[in-house]
Amino acid sequence: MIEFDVAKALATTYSGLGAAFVVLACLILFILAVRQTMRFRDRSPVPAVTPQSHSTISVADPDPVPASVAAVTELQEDGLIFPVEETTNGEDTNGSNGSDEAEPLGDWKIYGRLDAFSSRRVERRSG
Amino acid sequence: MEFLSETGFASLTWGNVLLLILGAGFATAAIIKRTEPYVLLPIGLGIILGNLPGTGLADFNPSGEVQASGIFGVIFHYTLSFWNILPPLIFLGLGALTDFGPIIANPKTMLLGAAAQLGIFVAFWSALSLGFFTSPDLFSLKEAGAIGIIGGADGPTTIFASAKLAPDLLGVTAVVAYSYMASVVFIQPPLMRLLTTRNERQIRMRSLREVSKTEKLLFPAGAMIIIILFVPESAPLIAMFMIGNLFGESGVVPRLSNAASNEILNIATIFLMITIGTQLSAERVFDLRTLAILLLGVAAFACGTIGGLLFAKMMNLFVKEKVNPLIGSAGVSAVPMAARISHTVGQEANPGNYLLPHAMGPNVAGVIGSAVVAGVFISVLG
Repeated sequence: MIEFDVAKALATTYSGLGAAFVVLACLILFILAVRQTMRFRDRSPVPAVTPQSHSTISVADPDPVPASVAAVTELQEDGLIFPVEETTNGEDTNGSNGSDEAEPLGDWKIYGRLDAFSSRRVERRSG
Repeated sequence: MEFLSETGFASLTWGNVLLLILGAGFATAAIIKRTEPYVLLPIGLGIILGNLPGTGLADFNPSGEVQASGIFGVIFHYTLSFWNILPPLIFLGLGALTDFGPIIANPKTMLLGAAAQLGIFVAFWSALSLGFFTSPDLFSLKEAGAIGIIGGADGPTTIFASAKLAPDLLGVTAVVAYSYMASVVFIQPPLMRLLTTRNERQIRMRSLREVSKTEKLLFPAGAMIIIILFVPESAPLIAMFMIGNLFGESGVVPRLSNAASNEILNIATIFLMITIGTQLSAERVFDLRTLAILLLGVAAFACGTIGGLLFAKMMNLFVKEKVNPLIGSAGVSAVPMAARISHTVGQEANPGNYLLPHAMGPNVAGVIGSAVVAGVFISVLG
């Protein structure tokens, strides 16, 4: 005479063995998905910057807009950075007394840390 | 004379004496033979303490009467049967020590970790079926579930599931699981040789590719979410395992990773193992059920090994790059002993074969697989 709940025992077996296979199969799919994504990212075309390509631009356009300046302009249009004379009147907005390390960037200089909006100042080098 | 009747000698039974010898045997094997010393020494000492009469060390008084409970009774009650926190803490440390690289490099071997869970279900059904030959209520469904998990060959998982499903069997199931884990070197090789041909054992597997740090970071995080969504009851074990692993792989919290894999793991091991040993008292051990659990445990380990081996052979019918079926037996967990055995038996057939990294994949997958099955058992039977 069977004293235990056979249906429950069967359900436990199906669910247990099924869960082990399904979960581990899902983990395999996850690993494969991550690997494929990484391969795709590694294969995505990145324009190579070589000395030759740089000189080609100079020859084709005698007065090209430096890419860095274009990027600064774009950031300015987006309201992320701004020329210092337009908004801050040359004040030291970040409290550094102009001691921040300056990074030359075409006709522009970016002062201060780029990760904090309040510390960004852009001004013309030529004045 | 009155004093003598109050000493431990007066209440010492033959059962106690036999278990004192067993405890001393465990401790001796650990110290002299260096057999699983981190497990067998504290368990052996716990068995000795648990069988010295009149100490009350393993007693627990639920009424909360002052000074009425023993230290190991309190630890057992609060860290295992009531809150069940020690097995997840051990999983945190194990996670910090685990390398998922072999799984990520060759993910299909993870299925071997699922196939090797066969032993759990064989032991589960065998425990239920034993009722036909003995007493119909020898084991309840919950108790059969706790016995079945021994087949997962994972100590903390066995303890975690037993504490939830059948706390009365906890001492026996834990000791049986750890004893057989220490004995896989005797249980597995004969089955591995019996079920594989020499040609199969000689199969050389290609070196595993190097796994990037990004993959090693994404896997534990993704696996934790996927597994817990499927089997929420496995969360205490799986979450701690993956968190421990992320601590280690991130490389940014070396102190936390070191604490998990050293201090926390060691402290949890001390309390868990000694306490488990104290639960193995003579009145619990010497009955038909314990004998049955001993037999079911070895059957579970054997069937898990067979399940992994046969599934690896079956996989070879479908995959282009053959796997050495010996790594299938490592799917029973018992980290890292089972993987080492796959490697050793493989080298017997072909000394140039280096199976250890390949066997670590199913070995770690077995840990995940048994935690998943334990979660299902707790969810359905608990």
